[in-house]
Amino acid sequence: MNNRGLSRRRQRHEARKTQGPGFHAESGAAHLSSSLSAKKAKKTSKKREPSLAELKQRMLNAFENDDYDDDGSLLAADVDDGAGGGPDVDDRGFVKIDLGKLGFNPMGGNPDDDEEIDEDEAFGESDEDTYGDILNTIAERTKNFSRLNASDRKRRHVADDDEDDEEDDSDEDPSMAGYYSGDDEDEYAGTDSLADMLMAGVGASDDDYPGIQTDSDSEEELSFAGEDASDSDAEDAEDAAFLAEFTARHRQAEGSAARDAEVSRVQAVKLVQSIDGAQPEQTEAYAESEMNLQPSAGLSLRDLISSASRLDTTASGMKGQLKSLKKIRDAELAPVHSVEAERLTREAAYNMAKDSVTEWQPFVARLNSMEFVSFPLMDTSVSNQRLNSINELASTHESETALEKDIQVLLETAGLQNEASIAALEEDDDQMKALTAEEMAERRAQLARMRHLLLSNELKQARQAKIKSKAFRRVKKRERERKELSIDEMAAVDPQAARERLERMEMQRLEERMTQRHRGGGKWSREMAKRGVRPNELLRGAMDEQSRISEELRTKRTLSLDAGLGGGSYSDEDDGALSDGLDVVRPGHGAGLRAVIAGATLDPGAAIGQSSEASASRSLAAALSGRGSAVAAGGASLDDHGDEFLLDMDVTGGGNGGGAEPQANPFAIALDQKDLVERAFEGDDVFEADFQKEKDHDMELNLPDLPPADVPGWGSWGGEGARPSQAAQRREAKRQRTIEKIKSAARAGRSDANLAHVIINDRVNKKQSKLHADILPHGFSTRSQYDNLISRPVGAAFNTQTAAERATRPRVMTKAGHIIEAPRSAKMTLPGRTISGKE
Amino acid sequence: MKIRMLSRDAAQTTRPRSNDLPRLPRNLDPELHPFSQAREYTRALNATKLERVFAKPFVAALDGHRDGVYCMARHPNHLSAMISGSGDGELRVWNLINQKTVWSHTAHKGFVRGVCVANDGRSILSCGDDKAIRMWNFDYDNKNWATAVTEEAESVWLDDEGFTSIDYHRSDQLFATCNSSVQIWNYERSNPLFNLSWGADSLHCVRFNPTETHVLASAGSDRMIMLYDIRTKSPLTKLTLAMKTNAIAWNPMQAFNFTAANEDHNCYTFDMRNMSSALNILKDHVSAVMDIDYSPTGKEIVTGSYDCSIRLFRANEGHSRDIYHTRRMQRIFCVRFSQDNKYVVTGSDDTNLRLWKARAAEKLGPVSSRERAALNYADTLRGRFKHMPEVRRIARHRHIPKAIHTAARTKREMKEAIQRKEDNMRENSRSGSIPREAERKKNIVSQSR
Repeated sequence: MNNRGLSRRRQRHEARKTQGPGFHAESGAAHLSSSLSAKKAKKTSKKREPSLAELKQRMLNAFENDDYDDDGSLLAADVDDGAGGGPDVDDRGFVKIDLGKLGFNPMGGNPDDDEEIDEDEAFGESDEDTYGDILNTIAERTKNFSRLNASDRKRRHVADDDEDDEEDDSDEDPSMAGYYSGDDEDEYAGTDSLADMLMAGVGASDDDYPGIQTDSDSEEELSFAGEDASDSDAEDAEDAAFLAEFTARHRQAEGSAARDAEVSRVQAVKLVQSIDGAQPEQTEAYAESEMNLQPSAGLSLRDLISSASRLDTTASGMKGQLKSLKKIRDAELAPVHSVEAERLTREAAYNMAKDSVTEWQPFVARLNSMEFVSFPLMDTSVSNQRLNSINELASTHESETALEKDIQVLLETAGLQNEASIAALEEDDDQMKALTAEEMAERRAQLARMRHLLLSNELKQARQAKIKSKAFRRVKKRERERKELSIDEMAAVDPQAARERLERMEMQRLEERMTQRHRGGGKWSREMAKRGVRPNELLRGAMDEQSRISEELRTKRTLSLDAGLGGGSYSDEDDGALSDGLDVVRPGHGAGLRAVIAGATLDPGAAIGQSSEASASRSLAAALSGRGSAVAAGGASLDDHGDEFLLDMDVTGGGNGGGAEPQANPFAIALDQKDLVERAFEGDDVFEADFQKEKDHDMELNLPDLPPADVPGWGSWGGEGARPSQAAQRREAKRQRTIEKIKSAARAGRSDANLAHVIINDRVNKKQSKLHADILPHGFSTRSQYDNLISRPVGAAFNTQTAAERATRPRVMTKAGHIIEAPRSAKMTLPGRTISGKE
Repeated sequence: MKIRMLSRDAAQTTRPRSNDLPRLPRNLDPELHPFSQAREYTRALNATKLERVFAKPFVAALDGHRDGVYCMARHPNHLSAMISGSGDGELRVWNLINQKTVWSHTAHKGFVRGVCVANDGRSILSCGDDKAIRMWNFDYDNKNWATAVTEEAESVWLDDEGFTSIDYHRSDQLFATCNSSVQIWNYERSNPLFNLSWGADSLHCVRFNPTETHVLASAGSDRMIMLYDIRTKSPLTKLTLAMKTNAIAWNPMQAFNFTAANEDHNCYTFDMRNMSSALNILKDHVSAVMDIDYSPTGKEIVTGSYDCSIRLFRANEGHSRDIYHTRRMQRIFCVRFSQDNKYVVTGSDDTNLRLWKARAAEKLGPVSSRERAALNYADTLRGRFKHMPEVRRIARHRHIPKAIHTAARTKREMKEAIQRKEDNMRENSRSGSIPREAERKKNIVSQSR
């Protein structure tokens, strides 16, 4: 429905209204109530938050008489339930208007409501005599109004075709439409001057009357308008513009209302005071204000009229006041300024345009993030593809319209969204059909049991996870350890895991040996020792426990033969045992570990004493490869034989691990520890000296100018056998001191002065600087990132054909002679991958 | 006697076809190529040098006009067709293939201010100082273009004021003109469909958005850029810059972005949704930028300036990647990218149109696949090592006219002096009392709604 057309029509009705005066007191009263309620509803519709659509509908209804039936029924519902507002008829037959309870009522009120009020009851004759003049005026206006409404309705039913034309006309001038649409409403409100007057007191200055629920509805409306403007994609342009205009109009009206609030309120107060002269003064049962209208009791017409009996002013005086009030009201109704109206239109249009260009955002983002783009762009969206089958169409189909989406949701909830799910569903169905009723019940029960078990286990775990008790944890640990397989058992089941565990244990062993944690190295033991506690039973038990743990941890373990490596478990004390490979050769009791000879360091030319070369190498190979026979050193002896080490080895029979008893080595080690170390690190000092020399040289390169030496013959005798004079010698000594001073200063000034093993070159090499980017280029966050990029070659000489092609392919490709058109649709899909690798 | 010989598999060493390269087995193990980076660096350096050696952007000068060329339009369906209008009212249609005029006519009395081609390519519209818009039929199916354009204007529209710019809608039969307001016309009607105005006294550029086709932008002499929407028939917003905007170009691939060529030697790219700050500022010209055009890929921008030079920018970078100039070329008033992204056409004061390559060193004509691979490799290497000082120095090296060089230096010195002064002031006043101003917001005076 086009409200602009209607508002224009309304204007004509206004004109007609002034021509046809008439008087019907009863309908006048009724209309007074309804128009009051309309006004009230506008101000007090806080309770029932209207939706945007509803609000708009109301606004339209407010100007539209055609919709009376719809709205009337809505109102009737409001009125009919006892709690709802609406005019009550009190015992004296007056219409009581409860301002606090009124629902929304469009202009002119509801004809059905009007009929409910008996005219005789509503107004006695005596009343009419008394208040004839005032009410005549009121009734006359409202009567005209209702008659117009009726005629309007009739006319509209007859000539619906006219409407379209009028709408078209009104389309032309949006600013005018804004004017009328805003104007109309207030014009109607203005017809009931008394209501107006009351509202001027009540509504306009609602801040002063906190009890009355006249929260700033206008603000709500404004915010709605704001929402509407922001998500106006659903609305069309006209609606947005209209709403913007309306809200602006309303805002202005509110502003002027606030301005006029003082004036109108003073007048209203005067009136009420003059009317209600005999009313006793009240104490502050609620917030104080100039015009103490009791919000809970509500202002009834009776209050006004009963007090009017003591009215000493003439009706004409009141008329004058009412007129002046109307003038003030009219002054508010100035149309929104065209500048403002245009601004609002522009804003709404700008928001719309923004929304529509934003639809291109995904396309632009995709285009910018594409790894390779080839222009002209190929649209591979569904509409541009040739499809080979219905299935292909179905697989790429995306539901777009609301109906399609609804259907999709329904299908998904039913599990019928695609072929696979349908097939799965059917299969399930078949399986279920194959079962008997008992089987099904059993299956269900089983499932329930499983679920219950799972749940209880989950709960148990959750509960236990929260327990902080150390004792509990200890018990749990023990339990876990009890359940654990021994290393040999584990090796039989899972050799890999066993090996890992073995490594872990080896680490623990090392740690224990290093820290001595359970042999008095721990904090607890140290405390005990410090305090000198005499061990009682308990303590002794604890200490035993400690030593047991220590023992256990220090026990060296290996995997048993059948598990893989060979060799049984050896304790630390197993003398002369070869643990794994040829890592350690233990010379025997008492001698302790003297030297570590890795297999690789064995001199190939070394003489192997007492056994053949072949057997020794065989044993070495066997030990190194670690397969088959266990190798035990029958007594590895180290002997100083010239410069050679002698390695004495015996090969025992293969197969049974630990078959041979290790024997004590009778030979002593001839080499001293010191000698060995010297021999091992021979030449290291040479290197250090060289390094220092190099460092000095580097330093000397950077020395400043040194004082020159005396030129021979100057200042002293020259020639064969001539000795420099003493003065020259002094000068030379001084020069040397200066040089030394300079050098030491230079040495101290180096950035590697305190780093014995480092030479830091502080000089800038100009030739090299050409080969480095001087600043980290944009787009890289670290230097290594950039280095990585340029150190990775892209050429075909360093890469496979395809890799090189891919690495050198230009990101944007265009073809000569092909016109590149701008995209026509934001929904265009671009094939290919993005830089981040997404399809 | 048995002779021992080396034997090898023929399949490993023989090429499958006679025109194939001999196979060169390579071991790709990086350990075996310790100098790969050094080698590629040298190749990059050489490629950069060669790129400079081969940089010959100028293709041809198209002479024929007897006055400066002030407006230009490309044909939407023909790469080789170019239409230009000059200061003496002459309209010319060019064939860029043989660089000849195929049709010319004195279309207007006084300047031809704007020219455009209808979106179906079948008519040319021109407007000028003589307060007229004229439409010329152009039968582009006709192979002989000399007879393709009608001798007499098909339609003429007259107004009270001279028109300053004209542009055709991408898809509808609408075109926009401007003088003191923007008029939207349908070529079947004698009066504009509607006028769009918002307080500007004189507009000199109007451009439809090629993607979001209902939006159009205009620039006015009161230093503003205005946006309009023809759906709501309403202006949208007005942006006032510090100086006048001479021309506007929409990014054909990014519906919401446009770039304004400004009198202050710079171009400003804006997102029409948020114009409180420029997205990018294109600097380098030393005089007013007179015209601007986006490449059809939306990745590059060409600008023509009053300093008699053309500059090519990457759309997202702040400085030009190349500058074109010739001794005889005077002030540039119009520039256009060709629709295949390969050429640039400019029109200048010296009555000539000039045809340039969009990439100065690009080889014209067919390129074999091996050549293509080699060029791609060289391009990639240049890109990779572009931050190396030597490579950068050579790649940036240009011979430019002394006037531009001097002006650029003067500008730089002035800018530095201003900056220094500002820094000194900042240093000697209470901290925060002289706030730093974002470069991209500096030139925006206001945005009205």
